[in-house]
Amino acid sequence: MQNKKKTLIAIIVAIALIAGLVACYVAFAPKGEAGTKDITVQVVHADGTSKEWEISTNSENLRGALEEQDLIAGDDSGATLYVTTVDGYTADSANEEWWCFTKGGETMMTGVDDTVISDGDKYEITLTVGYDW
Amino acid sequence: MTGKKLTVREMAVLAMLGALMFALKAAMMALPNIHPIAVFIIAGTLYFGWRMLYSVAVYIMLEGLVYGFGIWWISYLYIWPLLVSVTMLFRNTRGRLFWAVVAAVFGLCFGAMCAIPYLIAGGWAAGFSYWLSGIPFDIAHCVGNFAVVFALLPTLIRAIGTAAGNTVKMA
Repeated sequence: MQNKKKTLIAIIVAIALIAGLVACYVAFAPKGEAGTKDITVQVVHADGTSKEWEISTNSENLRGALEEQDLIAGDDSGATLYVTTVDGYTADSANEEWWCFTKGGETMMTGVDDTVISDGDKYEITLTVGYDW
Repeated sequence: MTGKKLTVREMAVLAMLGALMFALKAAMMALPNIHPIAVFIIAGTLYFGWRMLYSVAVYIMLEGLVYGFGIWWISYLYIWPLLVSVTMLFRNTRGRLFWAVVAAVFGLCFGAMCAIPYLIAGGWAAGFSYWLSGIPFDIAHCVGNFAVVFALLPTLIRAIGTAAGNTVKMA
């Protein structure tokens, strides 16, 4: 009986948590915008040179917008795309190179698949060397 | 078991459990947040008690050595020992359904626990957006943990017991 009581309490906690998580996600997750969005994407290469693209897109996420321009490619074996190539240059992981994505100069907390774009957004993609905390 | 020294056989089993957790997680990498870590930790803790922390240490070190000691690794240092602690808290509870639900709840909380280093490093906005974007994965983690623990827990406990020489009498 003690086991059944504990199980029931655990089930109630699980259901409450699921409901809470779903409610938070629905309430606070950024929503994709329908229609055409104009965004700016700046790519900074290892030698310091940078290029800028003005992109008009109907895509709701950053991945779609960048792929429309053939700007990115990468490892799609996981749940989301891990970008390894930007503007034709593939980061060399042996030299600890990687492409750092920022939005308006701020670190992004989501990958290209989960980054919802809005009209007027500016993104920077910088080739970075060295893995740190 | 309390105060009794580990046998060589038990030490080997604990080491292998850590290695197995790492290998099986790597094998299931294509499935987001679906892996057998929770069932191994729960089963191992129910059999070995606090000594399962040795396996957890092996697993965490392997993850860091292979994938790099990033900010995510910091969260592993407390998340997986926490599951051992929770299991020890309810160690006398029997029933695969109970443990499946515990694993499911743990999966739901996983994202929030992982967000703590981001919260400290980047502030509330960084921590919150990290957690929020991971909610769909937390729900997948919850479902995956429930299914894997419900399906495998009793069998895994027996297998661990057999491998370790059945040195612990399970109630």
